[in-house]
Amino acid sequence: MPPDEKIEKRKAYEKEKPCLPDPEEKGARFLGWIKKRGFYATFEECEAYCSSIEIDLKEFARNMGRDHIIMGRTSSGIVAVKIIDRKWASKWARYYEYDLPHHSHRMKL
Amino acid sequence: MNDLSDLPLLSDEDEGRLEFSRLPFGGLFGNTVLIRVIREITADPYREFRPRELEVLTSSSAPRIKNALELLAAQGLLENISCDSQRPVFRVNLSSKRLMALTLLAYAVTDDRDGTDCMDDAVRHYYVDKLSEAGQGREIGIFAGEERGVRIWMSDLAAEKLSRSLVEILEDASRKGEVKV
Repeated sequence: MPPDEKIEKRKAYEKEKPCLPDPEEKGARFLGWIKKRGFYATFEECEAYCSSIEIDLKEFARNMGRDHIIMGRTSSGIVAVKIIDRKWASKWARYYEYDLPHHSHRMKL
Repeated sequence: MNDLSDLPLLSDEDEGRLEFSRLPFGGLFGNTVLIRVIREITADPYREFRPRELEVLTSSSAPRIKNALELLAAQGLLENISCDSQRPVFRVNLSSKRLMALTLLAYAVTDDRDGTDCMDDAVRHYYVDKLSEAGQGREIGIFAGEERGVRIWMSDLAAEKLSRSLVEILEDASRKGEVKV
């Protein structure tokens, strides 16, 4: 790949602008977590995780809207959380650097 | 949840995906306590992990969690940062390439299930951030006079974020008349 092309590709990636709503730092952290679990998790699992990062899951889902994240139930009565808009979730997880391991977050905590 | 009956019923396809997601890495390595702990540290490696919390998160017993944590610490994937031997607290080794590989694997599992490109995007990100010429970073010096100053090594991405923050601070200070820009 010619050097110029490489630089252009990198710039394009850096300028990626996620669509609203902004889930903010903790929300993006949750999105990064559920993405690594395949964009689906039980409500129970999500609640256990969300309490560890101090985020109200129900409020978060309500604020983000049903176009982005929903809660549903299975035929056996298990409550599940599903990410509807995966691109939105992925872009914000990437924006807040929760998609891949980074050293920067440890300093923030 | 109290309002269970109000929630929409998931489709059969969604139910299948949920069941698949409940198994660590789609069941590729079984569903042992060890692999459940590995899934937890991969999903969010920035937390500090305490045995009690992991017992809840992985639905596992205390002795099994203890064994898994000790094994992962011996492997160098975790580090016990607690001074109290009775209350261990583990931190993930973020420099571990196995952690990065496990993250990519988690995405690959979803990709194989749904035909998506999560892993490809992550590999591209990793390349740009860590491996490409442009992502290698640089040394930045901040000096007040000839002798006093600091040198910081940071990636180009971090440098750009820092420069954006500095611009905002300087513009704000300029508006208040505190500095001349």
